[in-house]
Amino acid sequence: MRLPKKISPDSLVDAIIEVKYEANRPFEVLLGIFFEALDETYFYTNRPIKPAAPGTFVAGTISLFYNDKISIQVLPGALAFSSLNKYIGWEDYYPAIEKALNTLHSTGNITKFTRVGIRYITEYVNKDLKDSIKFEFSFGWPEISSLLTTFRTEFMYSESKVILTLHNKLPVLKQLAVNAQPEIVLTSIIDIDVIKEPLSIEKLTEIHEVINSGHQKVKEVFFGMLREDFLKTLNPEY
Amino acid sequence: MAKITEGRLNEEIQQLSLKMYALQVIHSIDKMASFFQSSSSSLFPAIKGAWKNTPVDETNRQFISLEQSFLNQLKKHPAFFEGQTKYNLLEKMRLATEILLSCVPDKISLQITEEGSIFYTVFKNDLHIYFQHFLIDEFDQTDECMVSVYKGEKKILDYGGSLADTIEELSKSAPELNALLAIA
Repeated sequence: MRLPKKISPDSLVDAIIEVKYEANRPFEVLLGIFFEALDETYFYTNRPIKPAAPGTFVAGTISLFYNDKISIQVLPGALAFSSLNKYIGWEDYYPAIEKALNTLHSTGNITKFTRVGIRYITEYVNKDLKDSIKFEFSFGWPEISSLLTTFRTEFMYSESKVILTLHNKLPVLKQLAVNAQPEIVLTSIIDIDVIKEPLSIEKLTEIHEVINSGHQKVKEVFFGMLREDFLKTLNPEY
Repeated sequence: MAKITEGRLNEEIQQLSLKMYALQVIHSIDKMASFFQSSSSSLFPAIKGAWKNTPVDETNRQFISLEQSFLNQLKKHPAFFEGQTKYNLLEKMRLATEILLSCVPDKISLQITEEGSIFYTVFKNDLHIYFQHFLIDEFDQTDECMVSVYKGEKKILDYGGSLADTIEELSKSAPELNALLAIA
């Protein structure tokens, strides 16, 4: 199947890449090393951790680095990359992630990568997914017509785990324009999560291959589901 | 007047962490129905499967945007908070921002004022929240806040007090917001 390089609008609300790692230093030390390694184009900030139970106080913070394209949430054992604002396309997005990942790996403290997760979430307003994707939102009771539907499936695809979640015609209260009163709009979601695990990768080139391959699988699942006539409305560029 | 100390700030953070938890509880229905939001943070899967989803961005994007906005404004108007350290200002801003973000707003922005405060505008469904956080630079005094909440054009809350008390009052107005979500 020929996959588009770009569609517009892409309607993406999130494009997360999470890489799990093992390190040879305690996390607190590692954070300082990462801070030193990332150049001046990155800013550092932290968020208080919300308490998990009443009367408890959670020490520490959630550490975030960001530049003009991406944010990096640095967690013990995991790096979560996200686009800073709107999705900028893989050709711009991935080099920014690659650069950061190379820098963090160059510290010599990441001993191996153990998991890669790539999650793309697309949101459509006032769109019935049954008209857009090759999926029948029905079950063995023909006279029933669902007002809204949520569907989740997990399957193996090209040696990767895929979690596909579809939400169709959920009523959501939204303010569609500034100064406009919020109104209920039907919202549909295609949520594709491609996971490669367990891994034991030490070489950077290999982890980059896994990430790029995972992104390719996200595209294959997404475009593989779309109906031809709907795809045409997305102005695909090949 | 004595400057606020880091220890005092930590005490305040501890006290507010409890308030944050209260907010979380009140918004638990919201979390359940969190999917019904336009922001990415609401996209946690409601259904658990055998495999664990890759986490979503939550409100990181909004948090970073607010912090950038605050720092840019602070750079332009350093006199608004004269005598206070950037560290304290930033920590206080982050705390209030974190609390407001816990309701997963549709839109949120901030503006620093000549009075030494941060004025937040928060849109959540048909609720408009105007939250002013005065960053007090005095020992043994907590930050003061004022909040007004409108539901459509009707004012449903008008309150002024300490940051912790104001957050509590604000959280009391949240069940109505959750009810709205349930109806939606």
